[in-house]
Amino acid sequence: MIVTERTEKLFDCCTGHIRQTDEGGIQIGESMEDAGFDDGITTSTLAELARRAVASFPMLGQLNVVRVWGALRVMTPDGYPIYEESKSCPGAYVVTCHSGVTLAAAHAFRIAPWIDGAAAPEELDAFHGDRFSAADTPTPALDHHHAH
Amino acid sequence: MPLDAVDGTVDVAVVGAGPAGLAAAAAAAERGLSVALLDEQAHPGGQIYRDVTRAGVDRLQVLGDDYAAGRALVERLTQSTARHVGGASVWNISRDRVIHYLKDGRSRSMTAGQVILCTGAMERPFPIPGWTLPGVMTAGAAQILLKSAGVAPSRPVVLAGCGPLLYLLAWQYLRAGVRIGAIVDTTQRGDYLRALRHLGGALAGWRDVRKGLGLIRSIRDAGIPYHRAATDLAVEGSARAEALRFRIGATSHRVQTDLVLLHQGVVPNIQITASLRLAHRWDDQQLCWVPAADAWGRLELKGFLIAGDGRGIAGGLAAALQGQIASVAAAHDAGRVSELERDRLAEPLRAALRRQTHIRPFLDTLYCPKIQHRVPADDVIVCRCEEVSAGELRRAVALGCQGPNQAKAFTRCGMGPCQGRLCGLTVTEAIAHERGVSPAEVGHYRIRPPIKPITLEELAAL
Amino acid sequence: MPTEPLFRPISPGTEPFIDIEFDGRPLAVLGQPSVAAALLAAGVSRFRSAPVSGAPRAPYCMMGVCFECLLEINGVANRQACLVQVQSGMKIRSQEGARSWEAIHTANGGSSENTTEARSHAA
Repeated sequence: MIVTERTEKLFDCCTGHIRQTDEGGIQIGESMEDAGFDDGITTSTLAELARRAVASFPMLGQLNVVRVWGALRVMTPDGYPIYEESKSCPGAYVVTCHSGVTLAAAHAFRIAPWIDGAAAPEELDAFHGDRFSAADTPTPALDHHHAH
Repeated sequence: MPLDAVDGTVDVAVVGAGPAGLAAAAAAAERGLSVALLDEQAHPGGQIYRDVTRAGVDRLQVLGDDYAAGRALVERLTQSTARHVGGASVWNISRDRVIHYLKDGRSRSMTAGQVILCTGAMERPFPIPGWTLPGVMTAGAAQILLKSAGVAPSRPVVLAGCGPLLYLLAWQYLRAGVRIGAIVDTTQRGDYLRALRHLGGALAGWRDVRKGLGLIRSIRDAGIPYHRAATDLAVEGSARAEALRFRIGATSHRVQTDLVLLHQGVVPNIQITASLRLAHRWDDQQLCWVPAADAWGRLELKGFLIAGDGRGIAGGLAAALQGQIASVAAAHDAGRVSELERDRLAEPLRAALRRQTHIRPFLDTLYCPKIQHRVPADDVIVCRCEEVSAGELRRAVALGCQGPNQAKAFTRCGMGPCQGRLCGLTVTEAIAHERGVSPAEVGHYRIRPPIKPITLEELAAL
Repeated sequence: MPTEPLFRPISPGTEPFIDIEFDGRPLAVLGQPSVAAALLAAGVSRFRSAPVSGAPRAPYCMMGVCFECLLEINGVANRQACLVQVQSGMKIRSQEGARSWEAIHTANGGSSENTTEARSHAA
């Protein structure tokens, strides 16, 4: 991700890849790389992010980059969430997913009621955590672009 | 020996054209290595020998012989086959030694067999009330104005803080006929007593002591108001500096001025070494971060070395020696020089380096920056870029902020254009004090590229 | 508005002067040093306002570390004036607050009318 210096309000709305913070800096990104535990950045990725941003909005070209940023995103092996209630400690739940922004509606209308005591949605069986240890054939990795 | 194209590969890339870089580049080239010396200034010299090749007779007279001595270093570089790349703003160095730099509006890169970092030091921040006002600058800034522009204060100036650079500047200003309104010295009686413990080292560096005493005598003889053991420094003014307030014991003093020059020592500039995720240790004697390096200047990442004030404050002469020592190590690591030859070459350099650093513990103790000017009161701005006060930072610690990187998220401290250069040490020490732990435990900012600004356009054109 | 300069040459009369423009007004400055040094010696003691509070700011370190000397030079904003050599005919503006859309647009060759048009479309 790239962050530029503060500038007067340029964008009235945000896109998935370019947005302006309240302070005025423009954020550009994200990219997705399989990097293990390395949260550094590569210049080729940065250049690509910059190219796309400037191609979409040429006037951004003059802005100074004040920092770039990389971080680790937690992802299950098949990219799908884990929703599970603990068997040994009923009332404790695991809810982990990628991404929480994309799945916000599902969480609000399907997961939250379940945690609150409603019946578990049928489709929840597919999201047990033990699918990773139980599988004798690995589940195919999700096409990452779908998750967004 | 023909050099590879600048945008290609070199045996050794030296970053920073101060005394360490000048010496390292020339020495490495003399050993037959292809060398590029990158620096953001157009002319070599770094800060201590800033613009030394352009200084006329008048300026050299004012600045003194130590400054003029820098010409010999530049001369040696010019005579060598090392290529000086001026106007080069290094914005990223990768761990596999690709150096990205901006020059003439375009980003370029070069790959180096080895990198010798000689980016030197910067002034220690001096966070006191009013320090962000126009008319408040560092003593180093004033020296740069003298060296690079030949200008000096037009009205009575106040110099405040402690350390040899402050007295050197006062001496230079006397020679230039500048009126000094006052020198406000924060050195306390206790500092002299504690420094006595290191008197042996000071006496071993007796030439420096004699020079220092000579400076101070000239200042006294000139009859400049000299206030000693000052505390509680504060700059008064609304839109610009109007006066410097301070206390001596219980008495409050005020000196009217529109230019305050602050100084309490210099510290290593760790932006590049931190961006490479190299280990740094907290130096309790110099109260700053120092990159972990061996006796040759080799850093923990293969192919990277460091020389000069960037590896710990020791002055310009020591820096030049360290530059030569590092280049000898680089030559050996590149297979140009045997281990025996390397050690033989380094021996006299090390002996000279020891002589240069004898006085260090004495100076560091005597001119130790005061805690109240390192960890300020609540209403003092700590992060100049984002205007975050010490109080705001302390409130963040009370909310659970453990270190500088969390402070970024809690307060935006360190997220401005200076990338934590001016607030880093203050933030580390303030958090350490608030948490009751050592600065070493608190850590320093994570530094990300770009080390220097680059536009989206320039990045896109990579 | 330039006031009496905080700095003056130590050897007056030896350095050449050049003409530049500061905030739309002509200014004669020393021709050799950085923009920041030239402006300080010409009586400019306020370079910009801090983006959060609007407080006045001016150069602090003169070596490219503090980022206080940010000015708009020849249409390009947020340049570290202490690292740019002054040149005859330069158009320099103080930087008030965060970088403005107008400055970016103008630097890209757009005119002021286009800016207003773009704004009303976005709204």
